[in-house]
Parts: sequence; structure tokens; C-alpha cells
Amino acid sequence: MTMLRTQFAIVVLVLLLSPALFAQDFRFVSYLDYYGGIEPSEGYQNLRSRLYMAPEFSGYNANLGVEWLLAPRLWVEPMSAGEVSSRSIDPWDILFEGYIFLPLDNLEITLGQKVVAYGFADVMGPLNVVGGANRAPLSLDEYFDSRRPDALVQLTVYPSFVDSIELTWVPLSRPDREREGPVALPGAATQVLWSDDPYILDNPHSFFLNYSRFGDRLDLQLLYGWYTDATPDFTIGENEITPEYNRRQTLGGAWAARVGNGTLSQDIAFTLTGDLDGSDIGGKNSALTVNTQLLVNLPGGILSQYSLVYSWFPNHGGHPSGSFQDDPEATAYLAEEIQGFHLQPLEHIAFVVAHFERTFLREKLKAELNVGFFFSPEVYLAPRLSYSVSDNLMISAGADINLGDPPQEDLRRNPWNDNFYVRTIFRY
Amino acid sequence: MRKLVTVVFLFVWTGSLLYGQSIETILQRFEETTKIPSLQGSFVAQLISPSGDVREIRARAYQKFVGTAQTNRLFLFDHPPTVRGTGLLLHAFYDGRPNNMWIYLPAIRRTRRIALESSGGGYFMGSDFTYRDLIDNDNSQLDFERLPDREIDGVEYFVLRARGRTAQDRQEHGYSFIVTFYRKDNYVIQRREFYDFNDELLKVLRAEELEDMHPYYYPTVLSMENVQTGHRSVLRVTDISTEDIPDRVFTTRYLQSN
Repeated sequence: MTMLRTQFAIVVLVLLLSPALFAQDFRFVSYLDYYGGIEPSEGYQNLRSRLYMAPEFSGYNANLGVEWLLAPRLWVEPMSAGEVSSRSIDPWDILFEGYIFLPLDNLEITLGQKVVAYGFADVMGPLNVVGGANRAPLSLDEYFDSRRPDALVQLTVYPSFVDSIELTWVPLSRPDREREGPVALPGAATQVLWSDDPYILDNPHSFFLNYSRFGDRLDLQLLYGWYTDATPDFTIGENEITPEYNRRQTLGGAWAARVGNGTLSQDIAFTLTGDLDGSDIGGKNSALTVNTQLLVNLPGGILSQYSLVYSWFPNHGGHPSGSFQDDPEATAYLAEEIQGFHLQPLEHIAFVVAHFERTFLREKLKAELNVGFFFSPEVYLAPRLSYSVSDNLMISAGADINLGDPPQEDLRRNPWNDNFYVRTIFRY
Repeated sequence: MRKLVTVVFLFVWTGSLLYGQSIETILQRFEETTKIPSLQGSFVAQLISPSGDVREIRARAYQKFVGTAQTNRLFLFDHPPTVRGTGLLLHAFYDGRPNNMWIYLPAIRRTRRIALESSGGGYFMGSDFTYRDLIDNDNSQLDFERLPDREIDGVEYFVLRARGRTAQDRQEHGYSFIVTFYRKDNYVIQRREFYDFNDELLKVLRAEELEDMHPYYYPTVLSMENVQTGHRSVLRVTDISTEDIPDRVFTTRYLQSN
């Protein structure tokens, strides 16, 4: 099996790199990092060591007027946490982005696999519903391995210099990358078995219609999406729980405007799930989410950003007691686990994420601090420090610290607790 | 004899005109001389530390005047690799409207509205130029004072001091005041001194090289020295073109597609 996987990866790689011979532009990012677990209750652990490479080739065919981009990703982990001692990238993830792009006077056509980001919020944006994600990163602000873009066809029409209307068709969605291996749920005497299918075949065809305006004083976006969610619901069987990928509809908008010395933006969206009355214990609830973000410069050259996220799940907790194996206690446990997985633990939730950064030594040294405040003693702290040794070489270090006790949920996305990392990054 | 009288008269008349130049005239002639309607080129900014360590920023820059109260600027960064692909679009206004600024960050594939004027102390990517320095001054927010004319290395200058009208204007401007040296022969700024809020000299801008692009002049090499730290930035502009730039270049569509 390992041999087959290696051969598949080599074939994919050769196929991907062949067009690179014709590239007119080349970029490259590589890093080597190490994560160590420092959760006081668990002692020191080696979490991972990763060598990562991301070449990016692009070009332009003047005859056809077509631009193209090819961006594979490769990584190996000589040291990994969990059940395997070492691992490498899933061959289906080697192609990160690869598309051709045809710009015309008032129209653009994109064909291929591409990252699409809607909305203005960059933390928990409710309009950011295109494509899958890595849901089990070691750091919440994972920069290099956070997205799992979909293959798509995209038409963008520009009625004016400031307006655009974009229609995106995703024939087959890709699922989020979740934890590897089964997750035991002892409170319900069952386990979650993940699917390792590279594409979601059950519900093909997703459509997104976006209107954007970057105007004189106000930026605006409106979005409607009818799509297969990359985040699963769960089918609850007698002995095991398996993911199922269902349709959602998202309707929302976002605006951004300059306010004094900063920028204020707000993303608002309602996502309708199939579990209309909330009775499906394995289903994700519908949600109204408002993300208000303020980006402002503080005295002393400190750039700060504050995101207040509020969500209301109107059909939260609608499942009948004892709906799982006629066992009210196991039902309550399972509901709590799955609602926690969907970040829907209560009917109303709110949290604040604050980001501060300041540069020193003419931007060679950068200090950052991310703070997640969940209106509870569980505060998330993520300090980061990076130093540019040269234009191409950077060293960085950081930590992800959760104050309070570690979460008890068995199904939580990231089973690892407090950690630190060191990383050397090469960019060309 | 008549010719001699005429020549003497013209000389005295011209001299008195120069001497009697009003602040408005100097500013207007400066604008006429340097306000190239459409300009594009590549620039390299060298950041030179007091120890001699040199870093480079490379970008493509586009500029266009729109009417009398708006300048559009676009910067597309090519170097260093940390900012490669990043774009910055500015719509600067001189009629009291707040400026529009958008940045395209390729890492997150997003175009974001920003207010960078005071970001990171306001310095442009670690250079000695601030984001404010990249935006032409809104003269309606400044009080000008004519200082005695100066002669430096045989070149004569009109000297003007500009100071924000209100404390808020000065704060937004980023300086207590600036002193600008306009060449008498072509009204181009050859030197500008920036004073901090303690009225101490902070930075000196020099036009090291000028390109004669009749009827305009354009400084192709500018240096900005922070006299308090010894850090210096030298900005060289090459591949200059004054061909009209289509308005679509100064849009977020163009910003994120390059």
C-alpha cells in the first residue's frame, strides 16, 4: 500500500511539474519546523517535525491571452504525533492550486483548482464557504496548510470598474481534512470513523453567486451559496458514526469602511442546514453569524485587529432526549460531542479574537500576539516572533497556549494541547 | 542705448518677479512643473542601515492624476519574497475626503481596505519614507510661511515652511512641520526637511537626480535620510513612461490580478 501511494505521488508530481518547464515566473517557499507539546498535565511530547516545499509556476500565453498557475505542495514529517511515527502529504493534496485564467475586457474566466475567499473577515468569516480546510492544525493561524481548494469554473463579470458579479461552479467538493484515525466516544460506546475519500461524490455541484463592490467610501459583498459543505454531519449507526456531507444554503453580506484611523468591517450570514427542526443529533444546526472586525493602528506603531464573532443557532438542541439507543445519558453526551465539533455548543455563542503586531529593526523583526477570549476562563494565547535573517531566510517561533484546563471533548478537532514551535522559512 | 535700457529693465523686472514670488505662485509653478498627468515605472528602494547593511524593495509603480483633487497610485511589489505579489492601491484626495487604500495580500487571496498612514509608525515597508510621504499633501490642511531664500552649491532656492493647521492635521501629516527648498530655475523640490513633534530635524529628502521630461521634471533618484538614526533610503525609478495609463489599472480588479 505504501509503495502504491509512493508511486502515485511520483506520477502526480511528474505530471504537475512538466508544464513548469514553460513557466515564466517561479516562486518557492520551503520550511522546516518542529512542534513540541508542553501541556502541563501531559508532559513534554514531540508533536511533529515537518519539511515543507511549495513551488509555484506561472506563465502567460500571449497568443491565447491565457494566464496559468501551477502550485503543488509537498511535505514529509519525519516525526509525527499520534499513531504513526512518520507520514507525508496525501497524494490528492499535492496539487494545491492549478488553473488557467482568461481575462477579457469585462469578463474573466477561471478553470481549475483555486483558493476562493469571500467576505472581509479573515477569522471565522461566515461567507468564507468555498473549499475545504485543514480542521486539525496545530496552530489556529496555520498559514501554510490551512486550505483545501476545490476544482471550479468561475465567471467574473465587471459591469464597471468598482462592481463585479462572480458565479462559481464546483462540480465536486473536497472534504475538510479532519483528524486521522478513528475517534473513540466512550460515553456512547461508539466511535467516529472518518472517510478518506478525496472528493465528496454524494452531492455533486455547488454554486456560489457573489457581488462585490470596492467603492469610494464603502466596500460591499453579497453572497448566495447552494453547496455541499466540506464539514460533515454524522450518520449515527449502531456501532459506529460516519461522516456524511450535506447541502447548505448561505445567504449573507459584508461591508467594510474606513473609520478614523482604522477599518471597520462586518460579515453577516445565515446558513440553512437540512436539519430544519434540530432533531438530528448528528446534524449541524442552521446558524446566523455576525463577525465584526476592527483593524486599527495603536500608538507606538502597533497594528491591532479585533474580531467579535456572534452566532445564534435557532434550532439548537431540538433532538429528543434518548434518541440514541434509548439512552438519555449517552444521547446527551453524543449531542455535546457533535455540537462541540460543529462549534455550536450553546444556542448563542460569542468570542473575541484580538491580534497585535509590531515590527522592529526596519521590519526585520516582527512580534505578534493572538488572543482568543471566549467569555470564559479558557483564554487562547498565541505569541509569535519572526526575524528576517535575509530577504530569503526567516526564522520564527511561537506558542499556542490555552489557559484553564484542557477541553474534555473527545471529538474536538485538535487533540493536542499547549505547544510551541520553531521554524526556518526559505522564500524565493 | 535703448537696447541697453530694455535689457536692464527686463533683468530688474525678472529679478523682482522672482524675489516677489508669492507662496501660491511657487506652489502653483511647482505643481505645473512636476504634476505629470500619467506616470509609470519600476522602482528600487535601497534601505541602508548605519552599519552599511543594505536591503532592497522592488516594485512597479503607476500614478495618474484624476481631475484636480485626486491622485491614483498603484504599487505592485516584486521583492523581497515576503511581499512578492502584494499590491497597494491608493486613491488620495485633496478636497477633504478621506483617502481610499486597499491592499491585496496573495497569501490570503483577499483585497482589504486599510488605513496605512500610521501603520507601523507609518513607515513604508521599513524604509525612511512614510505612507504619508507617498501621498501628495492636501495644501488646504497646511499653513505655509515663506522663509528667506537660500543658496546651496550655487543653486538658488525659494524656501517654504508648511505646518498642519490644527493639531489633528499635524498628527495626520506626521510631522510638526516641513521645510521645502524649491529650485528657482525650475521650481522642482531639491530638498525637504521633516521636523518631529519636538521641532527637531528628523529626516532630509534630497532629489539626487532629475530627469528633464519637457515640460516636466521628475526626480529619478530620491534619498531620504533619518538624521536621528543614520538610516537612509534611496529610491531609484527606472523605465519611466508618461503614456496615458488606463483608468482600469487603478482598480481592485487589476490590483489582485497581478
